[in-house]
Amino acid sequence: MAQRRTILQILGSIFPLSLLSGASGCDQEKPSAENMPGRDYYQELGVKPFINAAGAYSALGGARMRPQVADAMRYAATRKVKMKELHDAVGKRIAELVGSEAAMVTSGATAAMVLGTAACMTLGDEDKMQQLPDTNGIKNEIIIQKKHRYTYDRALTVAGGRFVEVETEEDVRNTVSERTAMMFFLKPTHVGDNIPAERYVALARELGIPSFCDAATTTPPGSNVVAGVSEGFDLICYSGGKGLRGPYSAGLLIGRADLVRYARQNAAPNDVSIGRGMKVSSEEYLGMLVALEASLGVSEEADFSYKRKRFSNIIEQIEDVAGVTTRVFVSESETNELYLDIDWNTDIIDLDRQQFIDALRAETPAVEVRLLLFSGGRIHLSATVMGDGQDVIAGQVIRKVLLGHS
Amino acid sequence: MKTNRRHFLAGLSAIAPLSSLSLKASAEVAATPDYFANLGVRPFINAIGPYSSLGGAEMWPEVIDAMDYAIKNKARMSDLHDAVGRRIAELTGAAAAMVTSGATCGIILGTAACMTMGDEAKMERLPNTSGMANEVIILKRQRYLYDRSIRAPGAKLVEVDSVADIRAAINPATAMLFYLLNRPDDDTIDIAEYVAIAKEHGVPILCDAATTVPPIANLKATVAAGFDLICYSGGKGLRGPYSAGLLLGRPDLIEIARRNGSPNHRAYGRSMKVAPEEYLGMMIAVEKSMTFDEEAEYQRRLDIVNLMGRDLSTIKGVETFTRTPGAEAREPYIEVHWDADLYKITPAAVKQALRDGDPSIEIRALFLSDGQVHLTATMLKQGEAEIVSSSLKEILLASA
Repeated sequence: MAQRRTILQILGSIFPLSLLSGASGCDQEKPSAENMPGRDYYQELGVKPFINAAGAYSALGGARMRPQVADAMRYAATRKVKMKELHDAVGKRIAELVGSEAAMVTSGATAAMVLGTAACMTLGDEDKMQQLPDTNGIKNEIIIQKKHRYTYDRALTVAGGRFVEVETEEDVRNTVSERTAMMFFLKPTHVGDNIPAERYVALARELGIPSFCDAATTTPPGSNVVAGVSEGFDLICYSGGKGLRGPYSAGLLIGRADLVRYARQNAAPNDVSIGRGMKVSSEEYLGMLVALEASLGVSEEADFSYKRKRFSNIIEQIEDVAGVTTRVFVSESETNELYLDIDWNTDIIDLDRQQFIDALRAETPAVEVRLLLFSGGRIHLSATVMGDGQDVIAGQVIRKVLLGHS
Repeated sequence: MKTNRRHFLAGLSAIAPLSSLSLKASAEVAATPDYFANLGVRPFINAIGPYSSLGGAEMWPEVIDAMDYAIKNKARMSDLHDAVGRRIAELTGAAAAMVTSGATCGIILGTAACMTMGDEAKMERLPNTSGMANEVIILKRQRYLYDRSIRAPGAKLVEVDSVADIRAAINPATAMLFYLLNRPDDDTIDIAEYVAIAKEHGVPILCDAATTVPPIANLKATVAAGFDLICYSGGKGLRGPYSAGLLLGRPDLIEIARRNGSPNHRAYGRSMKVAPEEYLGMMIAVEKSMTFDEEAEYQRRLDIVNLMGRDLSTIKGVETFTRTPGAEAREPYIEVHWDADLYKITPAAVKQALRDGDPSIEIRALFLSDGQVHLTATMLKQGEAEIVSSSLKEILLASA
């Protein structure tokens, strides 16, 4: 099974530090209201604060929402509207923004996969929707390329789908039958595939099978959503709380009008749907739209300059520590994520990389960097979730740990 | 609820930062656009109640502040889940607790927990339950709309006619007993006996108590009744986040329910994500529900429905009755009757006319009120009661 975040980024190009000159970051990174004294809930609860230099992982609370997303959520939290009207209006607007027939907000990319599968299996048939996840007498086979099997394909079985693995176009033709509900495709494409996206879409169309693409992690930049939609999959899904910096438990399902309608029928707030448990609040619905709008307005360069600034502030704290080397580089995946690689001479600093990670975790505040599993065994920092000012603190913590073992 | 929260909170963004980690604030406060107006989504006056399709309950202001805090301050999800779970357990008297994405999610994860009992291979296999205990026993008269959620992770419903029949129905394939809690005053089933049967046979019992608060005393009583798992809706009576709920109960079962839920990558329930702001917001909603003056709020609602009743009664041939459904319910409403010879309009037509009016008004008629027109005060904001009663009067008079 392929990991979503592969180790390919170590092959990425290197950005010389000279390019990091005084980038000022993006104005919209700043929250729109003044800090106000109030309850410090995490302190009350004994929840330890940490600086997230690892990335927008669900287990670490996802992305940092843009301030306008947080504002929009507060707006929606204090004004009631009819959910159906809101779902219609937001769906229509998102579809306009990305150039699709239709769109809906889900409780995350996984929910989009569950609902998309349910839509393709039931095609709006009330009895079949009621019957899920029992798919007896319902088309339930999902065609998937062997190389596209991965951790999150679990979602395709939640509504009752079953995998049929293929490697070649011939395999697809041979396996398509009345039982075939959907043809699944995984992006980014660097996971490897035998049948490329363009051929896969064409083949699905020729065979009359709905195609579904999981593009959950292919942002930033937000423009990748528009690009992904234009590839012609019947349905495509994105995570909302990661690269798009929207609400944590939100995602997007985009595509054909009929299939999105069926997906909605299988979802909350419909009382007897398989997806009733995957509730999306009005603040998440609106927040997702605002996040997408904002993401489409941010260029990759503006995003990078913000992150480079965070990295240069960290580097400033540690560059004079003997034996330490740093480099900023762009991963070669479709998301073009920017990382800071930190390394040191173990003859001078007596610390292996896992010990370094453990030591950072033990500090207050703790600093989380990418797991070695995801970074090809190296120390990688991400600035995706790092707020203004947290960079310097992270740099100080890292300095302390490195010097402590020098 | 006493202040007009829309105005009070509209421009106010309370942030309670961790001193060293907070994002820097900017002095330039960008005005929040009027998103709903821009989208053409119409505001409406809610005289019907906190229904999901209408956006649920009005959250406590403290809940909204806590959500804002959690949006702006990150915590590790497992730390947050542990700490909030512990705190909610303390507050409610339950042995353990977790926040779910709603009462439905509570039923799904609870059922998944009881079917798999933490067995990794079984959890991985859901909703395929062949070869595992997958039967859920339910009383015929407790079958309802939402028992559909029990089937979502692959369980099969086994109906029994009476409490006495449960014993005979229990077999090695039994995963769980299900109990639907209604308002205590209209309950006709002996909970103690039901729970005792479950204990006697070592089968976990899950109680759906989604809509039984307020009053909060019901929650405490239900926890004390000895169910292994109990689920609540968060965005209704507890006035927490819309897509949140509670699952309370035995520590081992809660732990297994968590393993079947988000953010675990391959969990059956990975799709039912709960945001950190929902986790924290739900805790504050429980805190708040535990301490606020229910009696004063009840009185406030009663005053408002009575005000509407008095206004409506000023026109000829209209009569109103104040109702409180059940002794303990905290949702008073008025029932509106009119002389059909004087006003030639049906309740359905009145409902439609109010909906089509400007401002649009939602009232209870037909489906949930046996064809009567009901007005509630739960969701009304200051000044809206007068608009509701005068609009209704106009519609009646126009039909005369």
